Amino acid sequence: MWELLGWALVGTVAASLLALVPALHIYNVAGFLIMFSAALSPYLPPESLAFLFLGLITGYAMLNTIPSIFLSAPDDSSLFIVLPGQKYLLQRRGYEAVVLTGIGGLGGLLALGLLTPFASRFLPVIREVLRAHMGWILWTIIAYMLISEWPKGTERAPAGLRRWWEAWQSLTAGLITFFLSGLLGFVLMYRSIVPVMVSYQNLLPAFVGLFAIPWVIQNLLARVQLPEQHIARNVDAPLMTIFQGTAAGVLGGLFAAFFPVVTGGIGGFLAGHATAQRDERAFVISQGASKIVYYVGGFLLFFVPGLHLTRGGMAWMVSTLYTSYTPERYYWATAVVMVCGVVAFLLSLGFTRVVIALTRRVSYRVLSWGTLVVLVIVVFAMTGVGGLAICAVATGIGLIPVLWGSRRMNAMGVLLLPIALNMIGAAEGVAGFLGLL
Amino acid sequence: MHTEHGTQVTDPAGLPQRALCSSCGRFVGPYETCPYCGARQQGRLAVRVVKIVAVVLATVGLLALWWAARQLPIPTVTAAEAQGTMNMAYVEVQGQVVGNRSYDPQSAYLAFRIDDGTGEIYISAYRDVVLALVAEGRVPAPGDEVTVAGTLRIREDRVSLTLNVPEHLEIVRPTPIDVRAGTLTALDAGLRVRVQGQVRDIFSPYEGLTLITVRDDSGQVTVAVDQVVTQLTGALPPLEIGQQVTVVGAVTVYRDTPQVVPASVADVQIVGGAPIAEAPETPPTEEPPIAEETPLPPTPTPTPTPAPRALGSLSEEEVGAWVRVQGEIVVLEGFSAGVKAILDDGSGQVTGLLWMNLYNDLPDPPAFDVGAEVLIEGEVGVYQGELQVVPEIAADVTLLSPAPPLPWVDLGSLTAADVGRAVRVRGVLAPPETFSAGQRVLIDDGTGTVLVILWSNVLEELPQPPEAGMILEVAGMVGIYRDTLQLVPRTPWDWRP
Repeated sequence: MWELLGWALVGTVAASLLALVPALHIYNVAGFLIMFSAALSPYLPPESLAFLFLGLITGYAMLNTIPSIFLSAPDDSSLFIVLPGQKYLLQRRGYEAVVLTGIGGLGGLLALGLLTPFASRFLPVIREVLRAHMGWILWTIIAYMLISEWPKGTERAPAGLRRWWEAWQSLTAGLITFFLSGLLGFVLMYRSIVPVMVSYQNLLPAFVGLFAIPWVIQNLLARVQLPEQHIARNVDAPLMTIFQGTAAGVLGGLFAAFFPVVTGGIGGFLAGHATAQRDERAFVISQGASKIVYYVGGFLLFFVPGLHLTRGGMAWMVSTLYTSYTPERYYWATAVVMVCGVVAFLLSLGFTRVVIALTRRVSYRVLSWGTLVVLVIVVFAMTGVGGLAICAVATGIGLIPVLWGSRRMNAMGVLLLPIALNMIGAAEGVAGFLGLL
Repeated sequence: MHTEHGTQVTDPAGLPQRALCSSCGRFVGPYETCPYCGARQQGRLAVRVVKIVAVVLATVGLLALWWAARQLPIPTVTAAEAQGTMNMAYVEVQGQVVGNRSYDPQSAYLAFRIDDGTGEIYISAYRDVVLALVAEGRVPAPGDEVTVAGTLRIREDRVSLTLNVPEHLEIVRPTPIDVRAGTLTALDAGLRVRVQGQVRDIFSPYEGLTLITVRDDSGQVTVAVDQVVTQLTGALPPLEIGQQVTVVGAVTVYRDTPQVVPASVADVQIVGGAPIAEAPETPPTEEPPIAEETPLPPTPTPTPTPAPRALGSLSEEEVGAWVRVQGEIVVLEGFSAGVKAILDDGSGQVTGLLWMNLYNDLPDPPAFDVGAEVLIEGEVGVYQGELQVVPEIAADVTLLSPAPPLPWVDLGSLTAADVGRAVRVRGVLAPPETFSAGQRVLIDDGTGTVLVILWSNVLEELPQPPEAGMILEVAGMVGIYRDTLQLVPRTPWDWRP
């Protein structure tokens, strides 16, 4: 039993280090481990691997805030941290932003712990109740995502079409992004050019292209210069703000963790809408909570006895080798997550100082180029030339919201559109129309 | 609400030289032209260029990717090749449907297993895909050869594949091979066969499963019609024991015993009767929805009935064989669990052993007695060196001519010379007397008395138990015990109050 905790702590420390590598997703690291799982099995049996992954995901979910804030290299689940994070960064408060998201993360972990005694009783029921309603709920989320974006404009353009276009170009760009990423999703779902041997990383090049690379390109174009950072001894967050942010983040994260297709980004989006207009600090905290609950909570669902729910890439990978059956394992997994989460939080404080020191010595531009190179290498190493081609196309789509000022979340159409159409029985018709059948 | 914009450096402290106008030195940020002095900034990549590249990648690139994807064939994998890193791959698998299917019409869920020779793969389909397959009558059945494309799911304990598109399921139903029921073994699992025989038993071990025992002259086989078959293709008609049927289905194995599993209720046809209708929800199609390698003949033809075997030709070497014999009953005697009739056809004698429940099911049991001409189908057996033919159901026994009524006798005329005769008497009962194996009771017809022995197996089945003063007719075999004549009813039918 203690051996499992040991593996989880190893995973936490490893993930905490790896999370600092810009845009290196922990799913890629886990993917490599899965590739070599047969060779590793004498030393790392499936259950130990599952707990190692538990540590990895906990460490990653807590520390991937650092590259998101300091290097603007988020994955889809930390998308909404970047902008407020950069605001903090430019106010010399990057360290404080990391601590705030960490506090949100700890709140998320606490919520997961409190839910543990009830999860195995209520979640299977909730799942059965929701099963028949997945389709319309997903379409409601899509509709909310698309229509909650408002026309933006300076009203300085000449009246008429040009003024209309100035206001509506971001909305148009958002719709185009959603539509194009959805088409990309159809191609990936039915006829991906990623080699079949690494299909479990089918979405990796698309996600890197849609979310990570456009940020890096934007950084390179904007020529950002980071100001000196202040290491604060306290954070500006009253208890009520922490509670509000955590509560919103936990709700968004739980929704994302439990609901299929809805990723941490969408959970963060919903959590953000619940808090952003009230308090930016609550917003940042909510993103930390949402991210932890989505990643860690989603993976913990895999351990809930009787639920048989596989959510998130980590659970899918582990499910090929291991299944958890007993409540005892679930409680143990939750306890392990608590310990790992606290360790990861403490590590995040130290590693943030390391990154601050690094950004002081190495230019932001060099770091951005380095990030881009790492991204390309990861995509190529995992998915080959086909993956690079997908990544290039996805980058083009991911740049549209960046360049025309619309919401990047629209790029989630890559998952939402095909799955939502599938849920209402229309995906087959669309795929047939596209000649993908 | 929080909105997203490009990153802007607003703090002038630490601004790089590149962010300042090369001409007037004022902050220009990302502008290509200084808004203050109008000087064009050198060394900056025009955002317009990035926009063009982005649009080209997003549109032309997507079109190219789409075109390239369409050229790719769906890769084929086997169960043995499937591994964790292939999770979520869109692949094609081929194999034969094995085992039972799962179908839930409420949630429109269908699942079945295929075996591709390297292992088993679980195929599942949901909602609209299932509805389409059912509407098209293209639900695979055990024994079918299928090609399925879908999303691969690798689990710790199994490989599964989700069928997303009805068109990505191809089914070839093998041409059935004519076989005899008794020749099927577990090695025939997966074969699609056609069996013709007689319905011997219809049994439902639990709701949703009907087991039909079909026998021909080689032996018997169980036909398993589960709920999925009836849900998909309609209800089985009320089959009757003794009917001749033809069943087409795949051989599956249950607890090491082969059984035949039809794909549809239409695969169970009554010989000489109208074929069983397809399910009403299955629309009639010009082309059969599932390709048969060779079409089946539309109506099965009855197998000619073999001539009865000469009794003298039967031997102990044929134990277990199913035979058809004919002869006259020369002796009928009861035993604890039924009756034994000795048949004689002139070439030899064989015992026909009828279990009591079967005897009771005969249309007219008293007519099955000494002097009757009968035709019996049954399994050859040997008991204490005596050859027996053991029918299974009442339909195995055909009364060609009924037995003449047993002779009336006066009790006073019975002597030891009558021992072994089957006779009838009429009289009044004395008080019955119980003994360890039944009851004995004296019957008096005015000319004399005789002791009637009612063995407990007969006694328990009597419609009216013996009592003093009862007037009745009793048939039975005359016997003798310690110099006392007895009349022993062989079955409850010999007791006629």
